Amino acid sequence: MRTVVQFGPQHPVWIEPLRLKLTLDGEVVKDAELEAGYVHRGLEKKFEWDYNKAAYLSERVCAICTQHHSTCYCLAVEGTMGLEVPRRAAIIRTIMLELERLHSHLLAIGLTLEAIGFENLFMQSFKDRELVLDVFERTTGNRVLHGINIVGGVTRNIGPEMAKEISSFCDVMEKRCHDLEKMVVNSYTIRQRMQGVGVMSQKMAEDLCVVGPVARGSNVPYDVRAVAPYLLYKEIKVTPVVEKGGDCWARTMVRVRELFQSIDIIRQCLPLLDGAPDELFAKSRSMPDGENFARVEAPRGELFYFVRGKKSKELDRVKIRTSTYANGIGIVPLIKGAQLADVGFITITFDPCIECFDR
Amino acid sequence: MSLTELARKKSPWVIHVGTGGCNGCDIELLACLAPRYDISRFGVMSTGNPKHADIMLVVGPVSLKYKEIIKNLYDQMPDPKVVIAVGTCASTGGIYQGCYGHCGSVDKVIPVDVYVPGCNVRPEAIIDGLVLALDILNEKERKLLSEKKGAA
Repeated sequence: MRTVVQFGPQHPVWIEPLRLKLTLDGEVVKDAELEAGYVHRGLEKKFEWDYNKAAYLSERVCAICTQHHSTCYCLAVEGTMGLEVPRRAAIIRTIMLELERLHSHLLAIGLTLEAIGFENLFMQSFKDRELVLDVFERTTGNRVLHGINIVGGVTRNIGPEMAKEISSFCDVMEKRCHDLEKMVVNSYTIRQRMQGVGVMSQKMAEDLCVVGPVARGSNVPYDVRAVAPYLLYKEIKVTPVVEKGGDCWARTMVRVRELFQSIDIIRQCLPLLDGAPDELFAKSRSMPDGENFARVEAPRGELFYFVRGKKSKELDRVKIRTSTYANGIGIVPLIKGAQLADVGFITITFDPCIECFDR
Repeated sequence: MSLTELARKKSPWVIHVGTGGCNGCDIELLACLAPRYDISRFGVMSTGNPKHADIMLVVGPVSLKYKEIIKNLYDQMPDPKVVIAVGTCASTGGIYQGCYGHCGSVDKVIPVDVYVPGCNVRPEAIIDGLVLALDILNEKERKLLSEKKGAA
């Protein structure tokens, strides 16, 4: 007998609304239908605004990867004006990007563990995440939305004292992350629960063009930081973290291993601050004109901004293609054939960000 | 203090409804549940079921598609109930004012009792709002009881 179950839009597994219409045969999902758009606010229209203020607006697309959104927007607009960001601003942006990735991955790992009922490790990873937010608060004054990026540079400096603080934070964080990794890897229960669930093969990942940890978990070494380097990644070489399994375990392990990669990148950036001149901001002599796009590796995958200016303060068009938009297509084929109990879990390992998805 | 009043004050159950903000307040709400700002030490329990909830925490401006759902959720909650609008977007529409996809603040859809401003809000502010909401909840309870007595 077939039954139809409405999964969402208001569901305790997700903090954001998303609806799945599941056709069940007993416990097994036979057919799934994904409906989004519950949080569509019409932000892209609002971007036709003052191009400098829109940097703050781009942070409000999604608050978990704010820095990535605003950096990507700024890179796109700077491209239309032919503006070169000062070196110190580029270093600060890179440090903030990696910090953002740290907190986003810790959040994703915590929520994944909570979805399988592991409350204790959820609390543990959220406790570690607070340390990152503390650094954000000390550097930018805000915990989540930073407001540090503007077109042409950054608004706040990282001085030598703060650099020292961040470096000691890296030491503490690395130790905490090692503890977290040990607990996740050595746990028999987590391994049994995650391995072999929601397997996405390499061919499927390549066919569907998924990005980020979802692709890298399926053995596709695609990372924008390595493929098309921006900011300081031209100097700092990044090798994509790849796992072969393609299941929920592989996707989570990619995130866990990327924590150490991010800490390593921050460590490489900090000494560069010493030699860089104290210039944070390059003023542009022209208005945005013509078309340009920028790509950034957000914690969830490739983030794409397209900008078209019309030689005035207002922009003509801004188009955003977020990482969850690319990944969302992979959710439905994985759910088909899975158990009902795994549906929430599989979607949460995609780390869906519905606010990005719908905009 | 009656027993129900004491019980409400010591163990309010909250439902978290995200209606399309930027996630900033959502994750601060999650941070409230985490060890640093542990709200469960006040007995606050997060529930997914509106039929169990006393307090509704609404985050973000209400998008047009979510309007009906949030009304539905509100109607499913038993009396007395309190709604807290968390964040500037939920209180006034915030930075999204002028976007076509949403209908602005929460109080245009359901009655709101407590407003917690801030973009994004800090966890301390959310806890403050919750404490404020508890008094309102008890007041509503007393009002309900006296109405019942008057009817009888």
